[in-house]
Amino acid sequence: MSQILLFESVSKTYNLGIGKKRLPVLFDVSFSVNKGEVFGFVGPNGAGKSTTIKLILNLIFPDKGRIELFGKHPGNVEIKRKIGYLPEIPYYYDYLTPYELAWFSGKVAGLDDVNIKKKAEHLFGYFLFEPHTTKKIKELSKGNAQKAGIIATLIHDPEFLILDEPMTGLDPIGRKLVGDMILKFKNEGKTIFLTSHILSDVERFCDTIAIIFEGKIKLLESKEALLKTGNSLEDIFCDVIGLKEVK
Amino acid sequence: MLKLREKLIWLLIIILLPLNFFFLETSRINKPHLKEEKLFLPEPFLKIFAGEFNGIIADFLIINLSSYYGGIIMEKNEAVEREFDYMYKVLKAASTLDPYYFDTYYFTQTIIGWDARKPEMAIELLKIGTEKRAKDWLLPYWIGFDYYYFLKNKKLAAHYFKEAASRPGATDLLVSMTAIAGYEGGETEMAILFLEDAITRADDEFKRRKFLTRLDALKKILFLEKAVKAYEAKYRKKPEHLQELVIKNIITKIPRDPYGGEFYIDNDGKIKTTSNLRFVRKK
Amino acid sequence: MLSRVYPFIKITVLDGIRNRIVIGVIALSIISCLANIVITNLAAQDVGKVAIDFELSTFSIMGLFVILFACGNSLYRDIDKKTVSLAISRAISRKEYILGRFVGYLVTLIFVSFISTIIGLITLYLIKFLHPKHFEQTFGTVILAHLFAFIGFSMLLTVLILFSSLTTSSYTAILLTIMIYFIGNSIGELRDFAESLASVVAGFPESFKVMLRIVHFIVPDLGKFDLKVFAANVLPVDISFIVFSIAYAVVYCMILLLLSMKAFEKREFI
Repeated sequence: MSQILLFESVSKTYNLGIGKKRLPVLFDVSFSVNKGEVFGFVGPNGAGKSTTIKLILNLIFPDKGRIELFGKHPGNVEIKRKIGYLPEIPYYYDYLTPYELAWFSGKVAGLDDVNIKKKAEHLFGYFLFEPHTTKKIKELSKGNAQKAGIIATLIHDPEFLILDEPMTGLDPIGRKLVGDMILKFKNEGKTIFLTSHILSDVERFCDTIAIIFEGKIKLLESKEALLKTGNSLEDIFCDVIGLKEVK
Repeated sequence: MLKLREKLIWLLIIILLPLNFFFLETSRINKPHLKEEKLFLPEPFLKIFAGEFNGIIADFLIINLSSYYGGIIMEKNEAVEREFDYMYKVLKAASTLDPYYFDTYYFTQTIIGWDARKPEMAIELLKIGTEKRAKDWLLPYWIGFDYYYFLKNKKLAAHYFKEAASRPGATDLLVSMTAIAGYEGGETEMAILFLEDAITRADDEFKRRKFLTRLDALKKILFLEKAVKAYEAKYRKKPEHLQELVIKNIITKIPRDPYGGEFYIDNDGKIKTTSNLRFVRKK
Repeated sequence: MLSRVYPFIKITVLDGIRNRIVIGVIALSIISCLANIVITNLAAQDVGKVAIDFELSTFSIMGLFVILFACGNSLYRDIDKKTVSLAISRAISRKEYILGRFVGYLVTLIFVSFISTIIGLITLYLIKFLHPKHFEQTFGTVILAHLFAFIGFSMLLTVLILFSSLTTSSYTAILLTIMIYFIGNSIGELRDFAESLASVVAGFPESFKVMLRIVHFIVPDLGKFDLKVFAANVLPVDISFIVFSIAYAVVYCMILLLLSMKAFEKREFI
């Protein structure tokens, strides 16, 4: 199975409740992510990045078009074991400890307790995090909470990582760790789909870059092809979304 | 494959719905009417506990009282002492919680005053109402009536009638009241007027029937009283037995007491009935 | 499927038990235990009735608080703060989410109810010890009353879950659940009252009776599970009543959970 994710002419409009307006967010979006690829999804706020991720996770349903995840419908529960999702806003189960969150994630993915313990200790160590802290997640700092979330995302060794603004709220050490982790994943042949504002990060990690603006894909190119143009990613980005130079 | 599972859920729901109905109906019970009402209403704390909900709680108490008494009447027509005591406690609590609530006093008069024959207790509560409900003429009227009819205290009766007459909306009823209060032997007519007024106020069939029965009895008593007066005018003495009225052709027959008792004339010459205006108790 | 639901149930229980509300509720139990002792000192005659009434009332309030504020808070975080995506994005189907949450909350309720019942029974024993002459009641029916109250909680819980799966704000769900709580407690008596009235009063509108029957069918009959009168006066409770009532509760909960699953399937999490 080489094609991990497929979006084919997907459109989505939000219904904002009874009597309120309908808000169109995605128009005829098409792209695909292959195995081993690191796919970067870039765009200004409100462009439709979060919506796309929610469609992948089956949190919302497309109005038109087709989505395939590992060749199956995104609603398929079994394939979710192969996915690791890191949300942008770190709201977690406040009253759990980081270990319990990781345990939950691992168990649901089908790991047994012994395995989870091993992997957890490894991951907690890697992120310089105390594994047996009894502090609940709500008592942790934002950065630490984010780390706890990341550990829970990786505990079951997913084949496909979906990262929504993964560097949010992390200090430089955290950023280094996450960055190295992404590269490690890439080397192991795993597939990553990430959204980010930070163009330098996108440039650093991604093989393929898509720029989305106002619900439409404006650009979909491999990194090589983009860099061959000689322009920086930032310039290309501003060009695509029509932002004029500040003189 | 997916479609089948979806339909399965709906199927399951459809099967469960009639089961729900079945079990709901078969598990209906009537919560027992407690024969001994040991209600605990700690007087000093009542208003404190109620807080801002004093009004609603008073409402609840009265509504419950109404259905409680209704149940008793349906079951055995008359309440016993203990049950009257309980109802009085409830009414007292209701008047403490919300002294402006009319229904409390309505039930006080009809249940405690009339049915329980405890006019003093009724008056005690009605006085609270009279004071708080300053524009209400009914309450002082009821107090006056109780003094006149039950307690034979014409002086206090007159006082309260006067108070009632001074309040807005007082009907001509009170004029007649005051007039009747003036002369001897006017109790029955007073009571008839009171009942006729009460019947117009009665909002359900139950109460209406009760009042009508009593009205019927009283009218018959009045009828007999007038007959006795006619006899007395003719023979210068009261008859010893009511039969004499029939024998002397003043009336054609002795009317039947709707409560199941028998009318008779007592040693003072007053018309009474063996039922005492209460239904002969069912065993 | 069980292997996926079990971890979710477990974290729901952990989340629930550690919620501050639960600690608060247990503290409430203890405070009301003391209050009960004080108040029964004022009661004149039937100390037993007052004590049992008070204890069972506190138990009911405790259950209500746990459902509205502990479970409600958890659902608030799920719906409003979107932590539901943590479960749904993992290998948990939407149906399993509903089931997992329900069982998790139920276990939390069992935990709190158990502790509260123990505290309550200790209180009653204590009061009985202090007022032996005026406390004739035995505690068999009291325990039954606790069990039935708990069953009532379970039904109300499924109501909360159903509303949560339908509305976009947990605030609305909680308000609606409170409303159903009040309606559910009075609908049984209301229907009885109307039916007895109808047999006496001529011209009683049939449509009104029918309407009450429909409401009675839809809304959980919580009044049925209020055995305070039986407990406080040690009145006998029919076995058939117990069996049919429990069957009713089970069927009702199943219906509501199935409906919740259905509603949740179609739900989008914006």
